[in-house]
Amino acid sequence: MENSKTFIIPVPGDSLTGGPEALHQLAREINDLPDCQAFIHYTGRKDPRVAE
Amino acid sequence: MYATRETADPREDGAVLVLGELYDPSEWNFPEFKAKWVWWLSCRRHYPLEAYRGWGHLFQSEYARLLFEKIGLSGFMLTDHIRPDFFESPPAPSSKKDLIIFSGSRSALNVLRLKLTEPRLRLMPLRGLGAPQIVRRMDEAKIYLDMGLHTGRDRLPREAALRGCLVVMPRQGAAAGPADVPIPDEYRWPAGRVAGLGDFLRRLLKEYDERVRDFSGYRDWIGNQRAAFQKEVRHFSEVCRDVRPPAVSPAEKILPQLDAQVLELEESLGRLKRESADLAVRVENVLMLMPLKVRLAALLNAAVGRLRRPR
Repeated sequence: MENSKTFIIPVPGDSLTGGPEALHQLAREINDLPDCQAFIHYTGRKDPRVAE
Repeated sequence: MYATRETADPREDGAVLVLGELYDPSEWNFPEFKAKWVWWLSCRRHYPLEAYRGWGHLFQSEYARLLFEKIGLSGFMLTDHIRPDFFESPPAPSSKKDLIIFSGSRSALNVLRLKLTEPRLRLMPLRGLGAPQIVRRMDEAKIYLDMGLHTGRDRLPREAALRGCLVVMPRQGAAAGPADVPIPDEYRWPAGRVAGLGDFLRRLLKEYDERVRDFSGYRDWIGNQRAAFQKEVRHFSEVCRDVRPPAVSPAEKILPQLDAQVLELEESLGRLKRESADLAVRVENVLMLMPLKVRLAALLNAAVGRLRRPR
């Protein structure tokens, strides 16, 4: 990870509500920016549907 | 769907932390972070303001931005957008049924009150469904009814409008004004009021074909949200590089405004309490009218349940 442009975004691993979806959207848009990278950090038990 | 990257260890030197408002900020004060931002996806606070000292603030709704501005917290807009599934060609109006869908949990109490007075309306909850099932149910319905608190810019009304539903919102919270929910004002219903709502919904069902056009502006606005969000994210990424988030205002300065916010929440809670009491009375009245044998069966079931319960 290149630290000056790295974003860490915690996401509840077991929640399928709008909040986690918005957090995923943020990570994707950051990753589309030049010189920026975002990483999702799942907290709690991860439901595989949460990233869908 | 969003093809994001994961990390098992969030403690990354020099990284920027973006935390949803449900998380406890005191658990994320790692020295490795260069900056920390809280994203107010809902304006309901769960932790004291003091816990956000040194944090920046991002607002998903204009309602949240204004609410926090009143207590001296400023920041940047960071909204969101609706996923592409909901934009695929909407159903033909002729395929719609006289069905009203509602947000399953947050509207449950008020919809139950409505059902008690309007048993012939077809009301179906959106509860525990994935995106494909939600799309299917929205495609069948003519109306999306929301009677929740609206502490942010909620997704369901936007998704329903894209699937050709008329959207009826409560006149409260983020749904009260056009900044977060730009629908024609006549579709905002007084929060918590059930009287007259049945007649209003029946009229909407009958006039659906003409009224669906009332939401074309709202649908266009929703269609532009991805571009708006991308612009906000670009701005945010630039801000993060150069500026450290502002500190929280000293508590002494924000107490009067904080008091006003607390009072506003109190009012909402008070209304919910009154509605709950009203519901309880109505349910009790309905139960009184139930045939004796049904009541006896319910009592018998309860007694059997108690006997079977492990001691």
